[in-house]
Amino acid sequence: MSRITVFVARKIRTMEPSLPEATAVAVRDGTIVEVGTLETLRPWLEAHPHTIDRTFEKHVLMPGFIDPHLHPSMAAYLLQCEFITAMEWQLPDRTVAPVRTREAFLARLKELHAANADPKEPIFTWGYHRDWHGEIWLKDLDAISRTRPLILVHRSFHETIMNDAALDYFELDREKLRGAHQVDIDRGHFYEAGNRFVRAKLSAYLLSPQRRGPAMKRTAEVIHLGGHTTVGDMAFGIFDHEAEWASSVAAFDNDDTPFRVEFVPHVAFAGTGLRQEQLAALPERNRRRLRFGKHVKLFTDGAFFSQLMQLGGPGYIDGHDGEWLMAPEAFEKAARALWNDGYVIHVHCTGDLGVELALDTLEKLQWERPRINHRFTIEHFGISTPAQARRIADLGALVSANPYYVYELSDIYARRGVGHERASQMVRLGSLSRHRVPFALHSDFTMAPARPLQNAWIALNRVNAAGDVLCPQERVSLDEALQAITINAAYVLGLEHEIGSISSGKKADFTVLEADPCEVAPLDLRDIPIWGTVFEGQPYPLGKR
Amino acid sequence: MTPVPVTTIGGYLGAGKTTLVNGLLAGDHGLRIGVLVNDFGAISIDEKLIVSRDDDVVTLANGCACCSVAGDLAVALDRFAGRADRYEQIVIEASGVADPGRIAALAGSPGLSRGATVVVADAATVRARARDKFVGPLVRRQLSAADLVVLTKIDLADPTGLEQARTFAAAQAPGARLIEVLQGRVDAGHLFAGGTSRRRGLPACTSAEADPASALFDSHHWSSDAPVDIEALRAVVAGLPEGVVRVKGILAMGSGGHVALHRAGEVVSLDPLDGAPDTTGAEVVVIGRAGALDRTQLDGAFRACLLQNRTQS
Repeated sequence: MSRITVFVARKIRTMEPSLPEATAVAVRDGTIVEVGTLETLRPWLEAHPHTIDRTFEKHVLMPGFIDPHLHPSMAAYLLQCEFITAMEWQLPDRTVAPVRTREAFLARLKELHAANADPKEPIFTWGYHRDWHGEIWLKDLDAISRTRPLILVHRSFHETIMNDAALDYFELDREKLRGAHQVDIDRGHFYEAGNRFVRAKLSAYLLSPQRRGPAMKRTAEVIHLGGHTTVGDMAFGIFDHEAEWASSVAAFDNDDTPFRVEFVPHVAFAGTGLRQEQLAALPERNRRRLRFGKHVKLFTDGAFFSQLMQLGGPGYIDGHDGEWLMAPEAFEKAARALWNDGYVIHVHCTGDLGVELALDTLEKLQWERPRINHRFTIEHFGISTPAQARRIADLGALVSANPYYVYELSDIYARRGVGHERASQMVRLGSLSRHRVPFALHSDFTMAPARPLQNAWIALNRVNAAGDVLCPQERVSLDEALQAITINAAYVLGLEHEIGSISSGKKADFTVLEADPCEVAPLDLRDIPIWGTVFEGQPYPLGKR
Repeated sequence: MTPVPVTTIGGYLGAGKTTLVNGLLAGDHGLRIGVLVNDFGAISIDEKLIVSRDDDVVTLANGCACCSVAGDLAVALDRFAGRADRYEQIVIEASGVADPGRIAALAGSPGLSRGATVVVADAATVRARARDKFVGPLVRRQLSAADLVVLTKIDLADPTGLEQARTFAAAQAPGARLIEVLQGRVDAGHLFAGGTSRRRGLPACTSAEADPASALFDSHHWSSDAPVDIEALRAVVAGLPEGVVRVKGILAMGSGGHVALHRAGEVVSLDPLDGAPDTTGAEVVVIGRAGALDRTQLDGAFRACLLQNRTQS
C-alpha cells in the first residue's frame, strides 16, 4: 500500500452536508482516506506513513467538476477552427473576445490571414452568425485573399461560406453545383442540405489521421481547463462507435489525462447509434479512465439552437413547426425495451412538447412495470412548462440542463422565436428546486463552453449576454448551483457513490480554485481562477501538461 | 446529364410507406428504380431476386436497387443522381417524422428532377393521428405537401370511416390526387405519372373522383415461355400508339443471354442484360394513359412475334 498524502487547503468545500467544510484531506492510492482537519486526521496519520502536501495551502478545494453531457468527438472538429464568435470563449491557449459586428469579424479574419506565414494553408473559422455579423459572402472573403482558402463554418454547423481559393482547394465544381438546392455557388454559400457538398470534404481535411490525434489532445485540454475530472460522452456512437472508441483510447487512455469519460451510448435511430443488443457487451471494454455504465441516450425533439424544438401551444411566433427526431411511437417502443431491461434512460428534450412526450412515456412505463430509483433524466430542458416541473418531481425523474441557452439565446428567442414569457423562463431551474427535483448542469460542448463555473454562474444569476436578468424567480441558490456541477452531476451519471463530493472512500478528484465560491460576489463566480485539478490523487496544474 | 426524376413517399409511421416500397421493389413494372430507404431491416427483399450487394446498395433482378440512407439522405441521394443510365426513377422513402415537402426539395440538385410527392395515409387512423397532441401538426403538414395521397388499409376502416378519411385527406391536401390501395398493391404508373409535381400542372382530381379506376395510367403485362423474334417485337413496340408512355421488356435471345427492351417516349432501345433472368421467352410491360391500351390488340401483336408463329407463316 502506498504512502498517504495529506493535502492541506485554505478551505475544502466537500459538497457533503454532513461535513461541508474542511481543511485537510488524506489520500492513498487515488482514494480519499479521510477529510477533516489535521487534528481529526490524527488516528490515520499516526498509524500510517504520510506526507503533508501544502501546495494548496492558499487554495480552495472542491470535488472535481463533472460535466455529464458533452461530445468529445464533435469537439475535435471544432477545436481546429479559429473562433470568431459573438460570445466570449476561453480556450487553452487564449480567451476569444466577443466579435459582434461585420466590420470586426472581417478585421479579425484579416488579422488571422496576415498572421499566418504559409500563404496556402486554409483558415477555418467557426462562430459566424448573421444576427451578429451581417452578410458575408464569397466576394468579401476574396477581398481578403484570393490565394488562401478561407472557410466560414456557421455557429450552427448547418452552413458554410468560402472564397474562390477554397472552392478550388476542395475541388468543388462550380458549374455542377450551380443551381443545386440550398447552394448559392456565386456567394460560396452551402446551407442545410446543400452543406453536404462540402461537409465530407471539410471533415476529411480536419479529421485526417495526422490532425485527429492532436485535435483530441486539444479536446482534453479544454476539458481540463474547465476544471473537470469526469465528463459524460452523452451520445457515444453518434458517428461511428468503433472510430470514437479508438480515438478516445488513443487520446485519453494515458496518465497525461486528468479526467475519466463515462460513455452513454446513443441508441439507434435513423441510421446512427447502437442497437440494443450491442449495448450489453460495452462495459467489457472498461478501463480506468474510459467506462460504460448501464445508461443509454434517446431523443425526442429537434435542436434548440436551430429552433426545431417541439412546442405545445401557442408554438413559435412565426408559426413554423419543430421536429421530432424519433417518431413518438418509436421513442416509446425503444424506451420500453430499455426500461424493461433495467437501463437508466437519458432523453434529449429541448421543447415542452418533447418533455411532455418523455413524461407521458415515463408515466406509462411506470404503470406497466414500476421501477424505483430509475433516474430517468430529461437532458437539455430548454423550454418547459411550470406544470411539467411538478410532474417531473411526481414521476421521480431528474434533469440535466443546459443553462447556456439562457445566456446566449434568451434575448434573440424573446424577439424572434417564442416571445418574452417563455424565453425568459427557459431552463426553469428555480421551479425544479421548488419541487425538489435533483438537477445537474451541462455544456453539451460544442454547443456551449465547457465551463462548469460559468454554468453555475448562469443558474445563480440568470444574466444573459445582453446583460439583462431573465426571470429571477427561476434562479437557484449557490449551493444548488454548485451541487449541479458536482454531486448531482455524479447522481445523474449514477456515480454518486464514487465521485461528486469529498468524503471517505471516494475518488480523490478535486478542482483547485484560487478563491472560495462561497465568499465571492455571485456575479464573480464564473471568474474564479482555476489552478488545476487533482485526478485520483495526482495533481494536474493547468498550462503545464 | 439526363436528370432522374425523384418521387418522394412520405407519411407518418405505420401508414404503409414500406409496404408500398416493397411492392415497387418486387413489382413487374419494368422500371429500373433506385429506392432510398430509412431502414433496410424493414424492407422485405426476396434473397432470390438479389443480383448484387455493394456496401449499402442491393441490386435486384428486375433492375431495381435499394439503398439504405443510414444517416444522411442527401448524401445517399447523390449516389443515384446523374445515373440516368442505371436508374429511370428514384424513390425516396421519407422518415415517418419528416416533412416530405422538404425532402422533395432535395431533388433540386444536379442530375435530379422533382417528381411527385406521395403521402401515404392509413385510412383507419389518419384522422386520429391528425388530432394527436404530439404528431397532429406533423401529420397535417405531411398531407399538405402531397401531390398524391395514397389511402392504405382501406379494408380496416368501416365504410363511414373510409368516407371520412377521404373527405379529410382531400381537405388537408387540396388539389392532390387521391388513390386507395390494399396491401401496397399500387400500379407504379400512379406514383410516377408525368414525372412532375402538381406545381407543374399535373391534373388534379377531387375526392369524388377518388377511385382506383379513375387513375391516370394503366399497365399491361404480356409474357411468353417461348422466344420471340426480337427485331419484330422491336418494330411492334416502335409502332405502338401515342397513348403508350413506356414499354419495358426482357427478351431471351436464341443464342442464349437476354436483352432489355425499353421504349421511353419515341425512342426504342435494346441493351444487353447482365445477370441471368429466368425468362425463357419474353416479358413485356406496357404503360399507357388510362383507356389508351387495347389489351386484346397488344396481346395479338406480341403473339405474332413468337418465333414459332413466324416460321409457320
